[in-house]
Amino acid sequence: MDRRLVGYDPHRIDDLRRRTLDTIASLRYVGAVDPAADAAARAVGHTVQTLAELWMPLLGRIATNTAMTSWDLRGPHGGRLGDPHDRRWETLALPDEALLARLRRLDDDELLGFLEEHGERLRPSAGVTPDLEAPEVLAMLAAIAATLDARLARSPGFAVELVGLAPSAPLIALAVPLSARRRELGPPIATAMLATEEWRAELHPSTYLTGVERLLRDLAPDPAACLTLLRDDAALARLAGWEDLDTDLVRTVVRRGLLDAIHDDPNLVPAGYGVMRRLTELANGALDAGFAPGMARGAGDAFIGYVDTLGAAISDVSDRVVVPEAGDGYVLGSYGDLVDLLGAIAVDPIGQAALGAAVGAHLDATLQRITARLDDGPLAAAWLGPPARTARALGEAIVAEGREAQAAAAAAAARQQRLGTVVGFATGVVGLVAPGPIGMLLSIADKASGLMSSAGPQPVAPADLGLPGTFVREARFGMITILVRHPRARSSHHLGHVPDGVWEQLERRVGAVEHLDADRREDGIVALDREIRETVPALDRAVTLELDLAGVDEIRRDHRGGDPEAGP
Amino acid sequence: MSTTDADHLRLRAARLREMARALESSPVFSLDRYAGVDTWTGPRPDECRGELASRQAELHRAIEQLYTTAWWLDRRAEQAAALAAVSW
Repeated sequence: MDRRLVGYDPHRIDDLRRRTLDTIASLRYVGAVDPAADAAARAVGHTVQTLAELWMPLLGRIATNTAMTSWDLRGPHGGRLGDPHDRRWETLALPDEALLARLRRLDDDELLGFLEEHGERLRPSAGVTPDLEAPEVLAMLAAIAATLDARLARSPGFAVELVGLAPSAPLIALAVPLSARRRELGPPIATAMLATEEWRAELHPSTYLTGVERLLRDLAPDPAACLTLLRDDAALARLAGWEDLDTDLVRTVVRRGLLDAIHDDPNLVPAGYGVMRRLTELANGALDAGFAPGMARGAGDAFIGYVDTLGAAISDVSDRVVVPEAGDGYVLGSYGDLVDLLGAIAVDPIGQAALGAAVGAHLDATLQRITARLDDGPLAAAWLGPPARTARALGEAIVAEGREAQAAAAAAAARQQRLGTVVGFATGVVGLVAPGPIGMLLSIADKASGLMSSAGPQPVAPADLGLPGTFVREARFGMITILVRHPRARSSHHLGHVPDGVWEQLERRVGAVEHLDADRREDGIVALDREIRETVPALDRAVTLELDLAGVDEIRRDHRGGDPEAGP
Repeated sequence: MSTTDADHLRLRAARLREMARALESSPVFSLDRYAGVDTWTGPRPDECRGELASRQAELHRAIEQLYTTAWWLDRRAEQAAALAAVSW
């Protein structure tokens, strides 16, 4: 009986199947017309029989398989793959043939009755923890999946009925990942499983967790399906707050839904902002203590797709944050609500690093844009305002959460890597966002996270790191660089009285700071900024004006309550 | 016995050796290299590998038997040739 689970590499299976056929063919020509060769001929016959009747049917079944279990992403040595989308090794549950034959004889009502009845042992009241990885369970689920596939092929309307009845028959949800129709059935059932409270009572906790993870793994490769799932308020809330779920899996689903989906189809941007608004509500309500790690990391990863429009949407810290690009104008909430959203992400170190990388890249993109357009005219006021305001919001969130400064490390890394072009600046939030640079950006976030983690487990007090001034200092240094190096940029700032020698000296100082390594860069910027404030106050005022950053003096004090003139 | 008998025995031995060599060079003996756990795993592949190993062992025994029989036929051919010479 085929009550077995097979894990396999599809490419190697193809090769093995071809070699097995060649072997069978070659053995058919081996023989000798001699009684002394009879035993050898029998051995050859046994071998051909083994290959033709045992190997080839299984190889053929695997090669034509379309119903991988797909949740059991384990390699041949049991290693779990980090990204479900990048699977080379696949698994196949072979159905319990006797059960399959029995189910085929049932009509639709009898089949549903069977599913309800046999789901009993998966309920908490059964008293035992079901082993969903057990070969006999997998064989049973594979038989159910094969039966459902056959019914769905005969009657397309059965799919709607099946999804509707799934909450009363949990076996359906557990069998769907094995179905050839899992792409169609999986997303609505996954959404229902996350959003419907009754499911948690219907199933043993471990069964519920495993069932949800299996469906999410199947759904993860499809960005649009991920976004559809995230758009369900109840499912989103469960994903954001359920810490038992596989962190990497949730991170992938959230990133695919919030970033990849809107990259693939810019018409989905309003839907993405709808999810962001719901997350903002959660961060200011039920989840004000922070998101679960998977949601925090996924939302942090996706922030690169929203940082540009979010920055522009923050007009003042006392106003509502309205995103004009999203439909008729999406109200995310107040500035304080946005800070809480960033804070809910920043409770996770990797989420925080991802946010920092996005802000650093955004700042760099803005500086590059300003520099490139200097020949077209004087500086437009407030060009650096949006990234500076976003940086301020992130800085305040991090200070409020009392977390390590991984965001600052990632932001500096993103600036030094010159990844600003990955931000879809000026041409739409996602127009220029490419998968390659995004991957680089996220790797910077991970690297920054890793660097901070390797420094030791003890958290660093925010005050010692000078947050949120780190971000704003970078913005000020960028503006200083522009005004020092580009005389035309200075023309509208009444700086004509400053002698040429001062500009030459400042240019050398700017160049020296640019060549400092990451550890000394911030001290260099602080010293240069203080020197400018003391010796060229007109330049200091011009930088502040261009940044259009309300309360910049307060930020310069780094929330330490010190005297801004005394420097950080 | 005659030289004809000896020639016949040598011919049989040659055919058995030919079959043994054909089996020795068969791809069946390298198939296991492509059917390891990096290709497939699970109870059914384990069963397939186990069956293949049994068949390979059976074939090895058959090949050894073919060579042994061929050697024995050659000895009998020599004996037949010797007897034929004495009888002649």
